Amino acid sequence: MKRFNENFRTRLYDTIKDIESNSIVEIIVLIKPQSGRYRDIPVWAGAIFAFIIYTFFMFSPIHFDVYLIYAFTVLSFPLVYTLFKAIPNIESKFVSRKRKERNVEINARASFQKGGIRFTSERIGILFYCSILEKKVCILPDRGAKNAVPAEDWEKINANFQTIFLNSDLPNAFLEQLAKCKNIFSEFIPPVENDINELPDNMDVDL
Amino acid sequence: MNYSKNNKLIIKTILLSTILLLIFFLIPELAAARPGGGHSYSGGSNGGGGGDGIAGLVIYLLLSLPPEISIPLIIIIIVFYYLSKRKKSQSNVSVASVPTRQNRSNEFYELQSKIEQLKAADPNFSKMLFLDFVTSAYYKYYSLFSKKEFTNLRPFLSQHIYDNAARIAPNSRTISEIVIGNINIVAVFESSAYMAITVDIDANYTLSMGGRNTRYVLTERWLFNRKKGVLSQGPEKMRDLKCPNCGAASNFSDAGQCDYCDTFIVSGEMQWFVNQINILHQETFSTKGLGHYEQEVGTDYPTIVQPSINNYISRFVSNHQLGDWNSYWASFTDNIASAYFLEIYKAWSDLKWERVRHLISDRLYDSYNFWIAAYKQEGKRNKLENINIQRIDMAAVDVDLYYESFTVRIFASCLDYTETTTGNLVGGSKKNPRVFSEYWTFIRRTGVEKKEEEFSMHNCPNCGAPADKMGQAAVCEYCDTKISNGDFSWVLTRIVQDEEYTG
Repeated sequence: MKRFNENFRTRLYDTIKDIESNSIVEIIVLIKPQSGRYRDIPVWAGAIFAFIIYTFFMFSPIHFDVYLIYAFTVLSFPLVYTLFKAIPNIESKFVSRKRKERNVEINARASFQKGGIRFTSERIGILFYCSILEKKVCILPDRGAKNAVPAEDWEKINANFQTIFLNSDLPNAFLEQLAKCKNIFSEFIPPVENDINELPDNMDVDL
Repeated sequence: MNYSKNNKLIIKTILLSTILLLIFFLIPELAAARPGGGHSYSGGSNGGGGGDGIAGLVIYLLLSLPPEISIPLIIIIIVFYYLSKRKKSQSNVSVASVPTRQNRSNEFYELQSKIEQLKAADPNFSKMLFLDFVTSAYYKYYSLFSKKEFTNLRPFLSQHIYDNAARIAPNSRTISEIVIGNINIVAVFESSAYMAITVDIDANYTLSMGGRNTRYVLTERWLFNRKKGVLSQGPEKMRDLKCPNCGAASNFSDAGQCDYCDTFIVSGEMQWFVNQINILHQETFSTKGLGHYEQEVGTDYPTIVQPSINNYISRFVSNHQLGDWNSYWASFTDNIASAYFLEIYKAWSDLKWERVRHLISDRLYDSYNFWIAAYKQEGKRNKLENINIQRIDMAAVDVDLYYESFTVRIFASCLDYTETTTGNLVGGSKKNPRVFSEYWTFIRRTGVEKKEEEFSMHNCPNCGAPADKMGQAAVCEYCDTKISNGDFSWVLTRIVQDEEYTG
């Protein structure tokens, strides 16, 4: 998350302001390190490894002392558990894509709800929820915004945002894709006179 | 003997392993209660209390194990503890599209420039009077809600706001005890036909519905419009909602016709009107947080200085024919800023807010009075002792047709703590001073020439009688004059924390 520094946040705010000055949409961006905890993965890994160690000792042709078998079997659990905790992002390698996507969507929808993004008169709030560990951007437009932009364009926006994780410079790639939305929003949800921001500028959602 | 020794070792190992396994399974659950949950530290320490017993047992067992077992175990435990701590702190970090200091600074300069443009087009525009108008509109809108007098607001509301309020009103919802904390102008812009000013209003009020009362704390965003080319009205028509044509107390028909001058007042033709109301934030009010202290943020931020401050200083110097700005500034900081700061915080500490009634504006008085009442209700008081003013910086000067205002940033330190009426410490510290800074805005009616040195903290600035009979409305009982408008002397109108100040 260090990559998303002060400079990035300044540019992010400016990009959103630029989009909003050309459209009545109200954009909220949330970037989270992860959407799921996956605590079961290290536990499972430790348990399986302990079982393998135990099996090895039990069926090995070499004779081991009972005390040693017991100690190594028990120790192997915390050892592997710790290893899984130590190596960054290793847990996610053992989690199915479906589970990760579900976690991202649940968190994005919860943030949308808790942040009150639906409280705009024209229902034009849009949440861009980016989850780094799961490598997924979930875009949740409110009803007004969703209906105003053709489904094909939404799909295009979605597809473009998923490619940012292939880029080594993730923050810039994110801003680039966000900036690209300006034309689409400006075309289909154009600005109107007397438009004011109906959502707070300092919205951060912690679940 | 050997057999019995082995047995003991095995029992110890089984016990240790079971405890270790329990810890490894339990730690994630303990950790899960903290992030994002907003749980208090007390909850965490309770859990930790139980952990101490287990930790003691683990240490005892570890020490009684052979070193080839205990040393790797200790290393694993330490590594795990470190990693789980690190991961926990990392998992809380997230990024949201909130403005950074740079963004705020840019917006501040942009807004100042827009206000200057508005002033150029409307030389009568006074920020202070506009905020008074917003205050009146807010009070009247909510206090007259569901009452037949709501029609008196017709010229000051757009058709849809008026209709919407009338639609909700029959639900027998009444709003009372309205307290406005702060009003910020957040945007100034123009459309093809209208000038527009957006303001954020921090307020709280009691909503009565179905015989039940709920107190809410809110931030609302209101959009005010006025037709282009219209000039601002004078103080008598801006401080309260009055007929923009004849100046009589607002008494309008449903169609917006003034009962006194019979003129149909069309929204925006002569005066600002409310065109949009949005609730940005709303929660029920609770006194539970009183006495809770957050770490001080923003004291090291650079002072946000108004871009055109030198022009305004020159104008102020010229208006008052001051020979030397520096000596005036020194007098202002000594006799007004510092003196008010010490007097006002002393009154706050003593819960004697009425003592400084003549020094502060109505809005600020009501806002802080509300918090003092909340402290009293909870049987607490926030004490500020040994106040030491370290420095005062000039942040903004405003001079218009009706008002002059100075915004200064005051750096100070003091012992800041909250205790119960019986003297038990609830929060803060009685030993370690808290260093902080705040932006204070003082206003005064243009044309007041009374020297700062001649000003007394304890006397009515109009008649000179003791300022002990000001009442809630700041009307001196000796001279029967309202004091809190800044007509006779400087009045404190706004206090903003350094991290929240946006100009």
